[in-house]
Amino acid sequence: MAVKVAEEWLNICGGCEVTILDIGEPLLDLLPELDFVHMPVLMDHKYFGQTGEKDEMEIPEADVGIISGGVRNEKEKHVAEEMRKQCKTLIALGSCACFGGIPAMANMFPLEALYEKVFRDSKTTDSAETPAENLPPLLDRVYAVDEVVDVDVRIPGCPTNPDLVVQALTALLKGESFEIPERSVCDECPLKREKKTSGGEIKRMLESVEFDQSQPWDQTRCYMEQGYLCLGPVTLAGCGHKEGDGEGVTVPRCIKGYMPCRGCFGPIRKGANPLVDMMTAISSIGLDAKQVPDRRALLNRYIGSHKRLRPLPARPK
Amino acid sequence: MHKSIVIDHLCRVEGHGGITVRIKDDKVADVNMDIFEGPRFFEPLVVGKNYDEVAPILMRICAICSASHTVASLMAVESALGIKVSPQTRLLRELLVQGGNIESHALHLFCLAIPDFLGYPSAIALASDHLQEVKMGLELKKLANTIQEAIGGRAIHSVNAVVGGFGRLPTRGALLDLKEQLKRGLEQSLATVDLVSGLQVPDFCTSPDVYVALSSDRAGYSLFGDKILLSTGETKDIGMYKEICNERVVAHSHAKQSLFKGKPFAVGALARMVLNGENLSGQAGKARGKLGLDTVSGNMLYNNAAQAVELVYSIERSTEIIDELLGAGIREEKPVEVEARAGTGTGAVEAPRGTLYHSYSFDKAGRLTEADVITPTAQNLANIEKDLRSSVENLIDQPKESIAPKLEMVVRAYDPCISCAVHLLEVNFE
Repeated sequence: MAVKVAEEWLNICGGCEVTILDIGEPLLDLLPELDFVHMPVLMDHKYFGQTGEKDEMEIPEADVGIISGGVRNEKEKHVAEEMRKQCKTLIALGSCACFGGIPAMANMFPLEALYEKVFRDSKTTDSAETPAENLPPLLDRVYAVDEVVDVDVRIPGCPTNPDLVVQALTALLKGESFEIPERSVCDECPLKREKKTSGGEIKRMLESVEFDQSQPWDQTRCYMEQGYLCLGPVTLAGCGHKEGDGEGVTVPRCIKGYMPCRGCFGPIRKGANPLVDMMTAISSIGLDAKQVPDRRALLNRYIGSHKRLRPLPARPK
Repeated sequence: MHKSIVIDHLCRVEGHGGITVRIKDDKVADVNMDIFEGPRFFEPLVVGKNYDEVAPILMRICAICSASHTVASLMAVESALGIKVSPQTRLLRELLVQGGNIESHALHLFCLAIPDFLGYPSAIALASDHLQEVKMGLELKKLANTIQEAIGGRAIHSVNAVVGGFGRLPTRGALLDLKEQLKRGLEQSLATVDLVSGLQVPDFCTSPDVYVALSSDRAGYSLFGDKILLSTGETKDIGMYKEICNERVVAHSHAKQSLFKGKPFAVGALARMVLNGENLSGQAGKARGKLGLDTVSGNMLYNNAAQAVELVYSIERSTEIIDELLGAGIREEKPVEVEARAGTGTGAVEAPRGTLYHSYSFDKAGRLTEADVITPTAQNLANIEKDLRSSVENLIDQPKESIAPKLEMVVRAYDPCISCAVHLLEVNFE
C-alpha cells in the first residue's frame, strides 16, 4: 500500500519545495509508492473543506508529514500542531523548519521595532497602522518547528539537498528511521589542508579564493587556510552531491562553487554552539578571530531560533 | 443570491493567501485578496550589514526568483557605490536571470497553471494521465537549474554572483555543454507552446489593464532596462520607481499594494509582451503570433501564454549569450575592487512575475542604512482585486461552487509569489 504523505509550508521562500521537485526523475519513480494527501503548493486541498464549509482545520491523516519553514504567526503554529496530530512521522525540512533560518535573524529585534521599520517608516509606503483585519497575530519571535511540536526527522539546508529527501523517503518507505550522520562539512570536504595559514588577516569573501578549475579538488587549498571565513568546521555535512553518477568525490555545495561554506546546514549536533566553536577553529589555524565582523549575526545566520539570536539589552550609557 | 464567497486558502500558488468577496443587493460590494502569510521582515534584517552581505540575505526572499533578487540586489549596491562592472559580468548575470525565468515559467505552467486548464486538481494527478508533459516540465526545470549552477555556483540561492562580478567564471567546456542542452530545451519549449495553444482560454476576467515593464536596454526583447514603460505612454527612470509603486498598506493583507495615480496596474510576462513583444524575433516571435499575443485583450489568463512564449525567448537568448561569451573568449577577471562610500542606488530587473526593484542607501563605511524592495506580486495585488471584481460581476449568476475555482484561476494566472510580496509585511488602513 502506498505511503500517505502530507506537506506544509510555513514561513518560507519556497526553496525546499522546489528542492522536492528538483529530485526530478527519481521522484517520478517514487510517486507510485507515495500518496500525497495534502500539499497546498501543488494540490488543491484546503484546510476548511473545499468550499470552506467546515469550522475546524482539517489535515488528513498521513504516514509521513513534511513541514518546511519556521513558525512566525498563530496560524502557522496551529498548522504545525495539526500536522503533528495527523502524521505518524514528522520531518522538519530545511533550515527554517529546523533552526528558524534567515527569517530568525529578526529574533535580534523586538517585534515592535520591526513593525516600526517596515510599516511605518518604509520610504515607499504611506504611513500606516500595523495591519490586523483577519490576519493571524504574530508570535513574539520566529520559532523552529521543534520548539512548537515534537519532530522525528531533521533535514536542514538553505535550501535542503534533494539527495537527502530521496534518502529519507526511501528509508521511511522501508520502515527504517533516517538521521543525517554527525559529520562536519570539513569531514566531507576534499580540499587540500596543511593545518596552517600564511597570515592572520581574515579576507573578505569578495576577494575570491585562489583556484584552478582544471585541477582536481584535492589540489585546491582549503579556503579557510587561504584566509577566508569558511563555516565548514562547525556545520553539518549533507549539502554535497556525489560527482560523476555516484562514482566521484562528494564536494560540499558552496565549496564546489569556489565559495566558502556559510553554515546553512546548521550545527553538527544538537546543543552545539557554532559561534564559540568557530572562534576556536579560526584561532587554531592562526587567524585573528577578533576580525570577524558582526559575528553574532554572521555565525548564527541560519540558526536564530532556540534563542540563539535574541535582542541584546541596551548598553549602559 | 450569494452573500459572499470566501476562499480560505489559495492552493497551487506560492505562499499563503485567500479571497473574500462580499455581495450586496446582487452587486459586488467588496473584493479582498487576503494575504495572511507571516511577514519575514527582510528589509530591517539587512540594516547595518556590509554591502557584500546584502544580496546573500535578500536573495532568500524567494527561491523561485532568487536569481532576479540576486542580480537586482547587486545592481542596487553597485549603483549606490558607483561601481561599473564589465560587459562580461553583465552577460553572465543576464544568463543567470534567463535561467531563473526558464525555471519559474516551467514550474508555473506545468505544476500550477496547466492542471487548471485541463481540469486536474494537481500536477500529481496530471502526471497519471499526461506523464510525458509533466516530465517535459521537470526537464525544462532541470535545464534552468543547470544554467544557474554553471553561472551562480548553486541551483537555488547562488553564491558566485558577487558585488563587482563573479567569484568563479564558467569554463568554455561548461558553456559548450549548456549550449548543447539548450538545443533540447528549445524543442521542449516549442512543444510547450503547442500544448498551450490547444488550451481554451475563458474570457470571464477581461477588463482593461494598465501594463508596466522595463523598456528594453538594447535592440530586441530584454529583461533589463533603466527606464520604466507604461502602456499609458509615460516613461520613468528606474530611480523614480516610487512614483509608480506608491505603496499603501491595506488592513486585510500582510503585503503592501501598489497604485499608479490611484489606479492599479499589471506587471509580468503579459505586460512585457504587450509593451515589448513586437521586439521578439526568432521562434519566440513566431510563438507570440501563434498564441494570439500580438493583440491586447485585457484578459490576464493570457499571462500563461505569455510565459510559454518567454520560455522560448529565454532559451533562445541564453544560447545567444553563450555564443557571444564564447566568441569573445572568457576573460579571467576578478570582481571589480570596491571602495566603500556613502550613496543611494536602485537596481531593477524583469523577474519572472514582473518588475522587481531593490533600492538601498549606505553610509560611508559601506554599511546599509536603508533598504526598499518592491516585488512584482506586491505591484499586482491591486490589479488582481480589480480582475476578481470584474470576474465576479461576469459570473454572478453562476453557483458559488463554480465561481470559486474560477477566481482561483485568475489569481493563479498572475503566478503570484505571496512569500515574495510579504517579504516585509506591509498593510494599510483606508
